[in-house]
Amino acid sequence: MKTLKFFALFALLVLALSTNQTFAQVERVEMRVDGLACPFCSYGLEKKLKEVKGVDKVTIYVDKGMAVLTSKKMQSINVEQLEPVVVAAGFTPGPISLTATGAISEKNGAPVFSVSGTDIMFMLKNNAQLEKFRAGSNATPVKVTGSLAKEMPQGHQAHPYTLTIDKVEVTK
Amino acid sequence: MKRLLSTGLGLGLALALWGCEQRPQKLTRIEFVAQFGGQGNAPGQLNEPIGIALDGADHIYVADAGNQRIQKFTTDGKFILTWGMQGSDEGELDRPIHLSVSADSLVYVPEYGNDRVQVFDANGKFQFTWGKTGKAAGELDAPGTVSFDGNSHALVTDFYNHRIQIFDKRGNFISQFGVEGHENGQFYYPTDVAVDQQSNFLVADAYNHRVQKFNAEGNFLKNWGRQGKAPGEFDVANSLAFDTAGRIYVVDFANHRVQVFDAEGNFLLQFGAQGSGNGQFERPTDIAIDVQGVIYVADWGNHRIQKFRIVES
Repeated sequence: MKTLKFFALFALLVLALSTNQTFAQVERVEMRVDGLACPFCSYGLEKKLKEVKGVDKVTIYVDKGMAVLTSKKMQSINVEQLEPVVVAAGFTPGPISLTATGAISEKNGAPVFSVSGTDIMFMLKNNAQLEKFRAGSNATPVKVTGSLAKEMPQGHQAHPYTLTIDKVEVTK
Repeated sequence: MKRLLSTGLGLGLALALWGCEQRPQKLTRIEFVAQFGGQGNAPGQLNEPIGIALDGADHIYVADAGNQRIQKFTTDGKFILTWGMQGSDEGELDRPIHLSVSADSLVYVPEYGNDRVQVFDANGKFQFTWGKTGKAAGELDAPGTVSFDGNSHALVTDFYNHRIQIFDKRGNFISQFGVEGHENGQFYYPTDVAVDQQSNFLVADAYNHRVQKFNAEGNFLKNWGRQGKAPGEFDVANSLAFDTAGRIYVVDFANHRVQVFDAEGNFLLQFGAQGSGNGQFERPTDIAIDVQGVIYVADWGNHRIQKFRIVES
């Protein structure tokens, strides 16, 4: 009976942990947008970006040329959709930075970041932040903030963006 | 309210004549009269006012886009009532833009975010709605304006579809004209349409930086303007209106001014310059003119409505 209870508790723990991973997501994106001039543009871009999967709130800063997106609860912003949407809305997309939760691991000998609860995987660019984290801890999940660049090593089946981590912390 | 009152007192002292460039043969000038609003979300305050409409009974309706609501004022700027909040249900709003009041005193509100037109009575009570997202006839993608012609047909600028659609006043589709492009009769993000005394349609073809004129059947007649800062040039021509003499007032968004043309599109004068003083603008977005020659301008970036009058010498 005791063994049964132990397994039941263990199963619940595993379930809770896996559910917690599905909470993880690309939860915030900042994107430079060139060509924003007027409210007809900014409200229009706002409308188009809200149609992107996972996006809840969109704030457009006309003067800064910046769009800031936050995700719906328990959903992840589909980063790949952003650039085509911005282009279709009549603007020029610029650099993207994001905050996301997931796991840092290796694939084909290269560091990658997998966004939990999704099949999104970013190649990671080596930098001091990444080295420091990998030297100290490999705990997951982690929350990272960093910038994306559209480049992918040949033959690597990852997301078409490379992520440069500015900040990484282990989530509870 | 206190702010409104103090603003009003200040305005009483500040009937400043605002500078106009005039051609010698034209005797009209534009005088600053008053302003109201001020940034905030309290009743009577404004956050990015983008559209204004008059009802002919001394009321002005403001599409307070940043606050996702409509506000109703007297033409002296006294707050009367407000309605709306962000959302997509009946009576809720998502970026209300250039609204209009029909001959039977209903308030037609185009919503950029919800791709629909909602219709309210003069007290803000929801009446009916039409529109859904799409490209087909009768569908909308960021409707920016509702205006009425002499037959009470509702003309709607369809921003991302680069066209003008015409509906009856209940929202049943009648016809459309315009396609995306830069040639005569084509549009590149139209933001306003108005009907002159001869039943011609004038369209603020915003990102072609010009005004285009069509007959009542939607056939192209003429256009004027190009991108620039000189008189007769525009940097986003985003709204227009007529006075009783048939002159055309075009809001020149990024040049922070209003330009006035005769009925044939010949430049007459301009008023406004960038700034936050009386008679100055910070990215104006809409204009309405009453039969007494009083002009109201939505001063989007200064979060206020400014009032002017036409002086005929």
